[in-house]
Amino acid sequence: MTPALRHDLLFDDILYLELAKHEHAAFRKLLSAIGPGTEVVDAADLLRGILEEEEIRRSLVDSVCRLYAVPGVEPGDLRREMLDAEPGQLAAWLIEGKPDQGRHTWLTSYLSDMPFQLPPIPNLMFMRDPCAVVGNGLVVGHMAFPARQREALLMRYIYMHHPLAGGGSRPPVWFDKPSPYGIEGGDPIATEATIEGGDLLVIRSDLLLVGVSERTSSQAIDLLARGFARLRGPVKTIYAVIMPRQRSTMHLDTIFTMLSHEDFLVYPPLIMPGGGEQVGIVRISINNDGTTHLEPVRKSLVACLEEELGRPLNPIFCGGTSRLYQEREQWTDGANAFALRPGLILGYERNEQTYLALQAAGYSVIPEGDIVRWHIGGGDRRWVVNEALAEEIRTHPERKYAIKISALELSRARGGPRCMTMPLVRDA
Amino acid sequence: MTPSTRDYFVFDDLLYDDPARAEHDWLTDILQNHLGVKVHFLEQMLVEALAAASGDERKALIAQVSRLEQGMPPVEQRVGQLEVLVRWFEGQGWPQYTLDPVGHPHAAAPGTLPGSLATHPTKPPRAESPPLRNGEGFDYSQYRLESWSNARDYPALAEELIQGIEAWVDNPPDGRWTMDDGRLSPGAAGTASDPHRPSSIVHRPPQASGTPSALDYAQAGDVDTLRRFVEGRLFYLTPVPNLMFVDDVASVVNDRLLLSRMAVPGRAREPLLLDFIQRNHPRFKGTSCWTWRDEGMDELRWQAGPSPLHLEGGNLVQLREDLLVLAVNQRTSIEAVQRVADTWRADALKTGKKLILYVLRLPTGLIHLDTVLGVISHEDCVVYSPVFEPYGPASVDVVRAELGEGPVTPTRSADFFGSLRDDGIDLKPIPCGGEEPVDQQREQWFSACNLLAVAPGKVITYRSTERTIEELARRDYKIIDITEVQTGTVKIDLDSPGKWALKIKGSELSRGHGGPHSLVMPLARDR
Repeated sequence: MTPALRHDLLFDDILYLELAKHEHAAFRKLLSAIGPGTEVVDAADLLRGILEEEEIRRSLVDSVCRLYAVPGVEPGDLRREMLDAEPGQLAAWLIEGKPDQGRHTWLTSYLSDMPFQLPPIPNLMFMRDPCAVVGNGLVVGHMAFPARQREALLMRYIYMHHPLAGGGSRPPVWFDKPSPYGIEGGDPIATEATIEGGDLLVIRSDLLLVGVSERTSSQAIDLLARGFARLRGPVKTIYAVIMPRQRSTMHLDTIFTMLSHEDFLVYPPLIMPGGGEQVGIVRISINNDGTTHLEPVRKSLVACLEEELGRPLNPIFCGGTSRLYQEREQWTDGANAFALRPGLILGYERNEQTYLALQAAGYSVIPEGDIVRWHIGGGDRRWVVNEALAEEIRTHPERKYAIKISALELSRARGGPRCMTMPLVRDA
Repeated sequence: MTPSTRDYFVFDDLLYDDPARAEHDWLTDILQNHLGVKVHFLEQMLVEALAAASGDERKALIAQVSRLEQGMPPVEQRVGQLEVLVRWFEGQGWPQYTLDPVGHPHAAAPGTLPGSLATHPTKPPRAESPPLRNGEGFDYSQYRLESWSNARDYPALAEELIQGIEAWVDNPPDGRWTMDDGRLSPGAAGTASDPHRPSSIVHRPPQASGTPSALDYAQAGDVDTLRRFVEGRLFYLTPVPNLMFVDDVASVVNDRLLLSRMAVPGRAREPLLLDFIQRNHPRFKGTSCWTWRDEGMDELRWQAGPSPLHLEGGNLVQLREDLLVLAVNQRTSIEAVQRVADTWRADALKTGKKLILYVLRLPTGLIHLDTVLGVISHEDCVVYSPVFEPYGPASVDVVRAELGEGPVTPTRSADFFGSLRDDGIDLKPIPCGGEEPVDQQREQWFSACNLLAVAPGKVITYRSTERTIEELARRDYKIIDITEVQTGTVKIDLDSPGKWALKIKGSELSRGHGGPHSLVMPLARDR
């Protein structure tokens, strides 16, 4: 990515790549070290896997070419080069982009800010958004910005075809947009429908929260509800959370995430009563006969969920009680924690006030470096896991832990640990 | 700084304060303890200057800082009017706030309560006693700064002049918002007892009769508080985080200083502080070091907005005693360059030493000359190549003029380095980021050209500029990592022959888009 492209690619700043990679590797290592029975798979590996098959490769390359027309690039050439490439090379191009190598036959491409024949999709690091698993089925994202559309396409192929990701058995699809890369859609509801995984929160197997946000439109939620009704999906109730359409609160999981059966991280100005900018809430119930029923709710989100779940909930404030820190830490994904299991959560280290609030709520706060660290010494470079501590965390499901992840660079990309992960199967 | 105010502070993203502080400390440690450079800290000098200054001088500074702050709408509104800022950047002025030269600018801003109107100075005195009443005309930040001054707590005063005063809005778990009531007794609380609160927060709202509501404040006549409450305003006095880039605020020209006049409103206070230090610090007392400064800033009603006399230190590069380069762009106006040139010409006529001035017109989007040109020895400089390629799509316009006897006859050229060679300066440009455009753009962004030469051929740069560092290595610069110096594996000094480049950590520092060169202002060099 270049500075000139950063806004098109939805970044505020560019990352120092080496450090970002290192931080991501540490995060990945941490997940497998402390997650009980956790297996971490990389989308890039899965993609390489499915590209081995000629038929899939051809169909995917065709879809990508339909999706993109970079000015000054001959689509035929690009298509041929992609079909001729090794699966590994092709997967790299599809994700990291294909540089134009300074060979220009078009004035437009010579003068353009885009030094790629195929632009990179750096936001794929936020695995949560392009394709989300709800129950045993899929919500295929339709991304709100062009920069992310290829992500949904790739993830759709992976989920549909890779055995590890449930492919082969063809999981049910609750939402799949009639889109530029699939069925032609002339329906005005369908053309406006955008949805991203960050707006979906599964609270209970039959209860879903969906943000109406900068990235997810009401039209998509209407179609999603009908999808669940038609396919007799597990979700019976959807709460649509109507949020301000702004970059800082792009997804519902930037202001509200579930930490355990009782604990939630919240951004108070939008979530708490009297916060000043409270979100609006509409309850959509999906009846057994396939019809849906809509009802505005005049309550706070926490009160809604308490009633729905029948137990008191404990909202924990992102940024503590100060408005200034709430704004700062919401921006750096303080409210975006990833729960490996109920009560075992990962967040960015820099959100210090949030960690104080978590500590006050009974979480033991552990820096990532106590569990995994990068060992350099005597020509030896490798990750070292503190097995005793990892073991303690793995084997005490009743204890509450909040792990602080170092993320000087990762936090620049406007997505937190929840955004960087997509649980395929959960048993808790 | 908050996400909604970062545009005002011209940051692309928020800094994580602790690592940023650590990175800065490592840099000063290298300079002081490993290279033996005497480092003066601006905040410390401000404290000393405040202590040495007369009461009237302090009062005048405080009045002017407060006046400057009132001269603009609250930060959050300013951010809401980005298109205005864009217009202003494009040189079209800031019409809403400058139409009425006498009345308070807030009067023209929609959505503000009339009770917030502040003092209207009728004459421009240096020291005017502020009204310390509650309600109408009450300026909390001025009152609070005055209180520190009266209590002779200069460290606290200096800290708030730089870090600003936060309007503490509290959202306790019961869901009721509360707010600082804007009253203070300095010395009573001193510093915050709660270690997790910023030290500038020194008192809490009166709790005797329960938490006061917004209505309570309104009934008490404290309209300003209500306004801030409704707006969710975060600062009484905004901080000046860009002061970390001290090289932009002034630059040393031979043995004198050129004081900047910052173009972005969020930096307007910075030269006032520097000017105060030069006037009052015992080190400078009774002298004037300025080769040029905007005289208008002596007036209380000096404003950040409309004047065309913007000049920022990052746009000045001195190549020889008699050869200076100034860049014109959105941060430095041609009017300011003209005034500086006039001053220098007058000096040249007096001393009989002629001065060569290069004026470069930078392409849009490049904020400072020192972000694309870093001179690191008598032969080498690191450049962002696209700007200096003659007749490229994004290259500079080069004008050369001699200031001295006879008329000024500017000449134009397309080849900056060629023209310099004719003047006897043979610089070999090293492309930042190497040959690939993608790397060049990325590393220019990471301040690869903004490296600090501590001596000819001895430079400090961010480690994130990897390709540029490779280019330096290819030209016989020994590459050293800061950890090697800190652990004592490698020793560095200024005197031994040989060239080196020291890589420092700058994950946070680099976010403000200034490199080591901008973080440090060399006052005196002997090499």
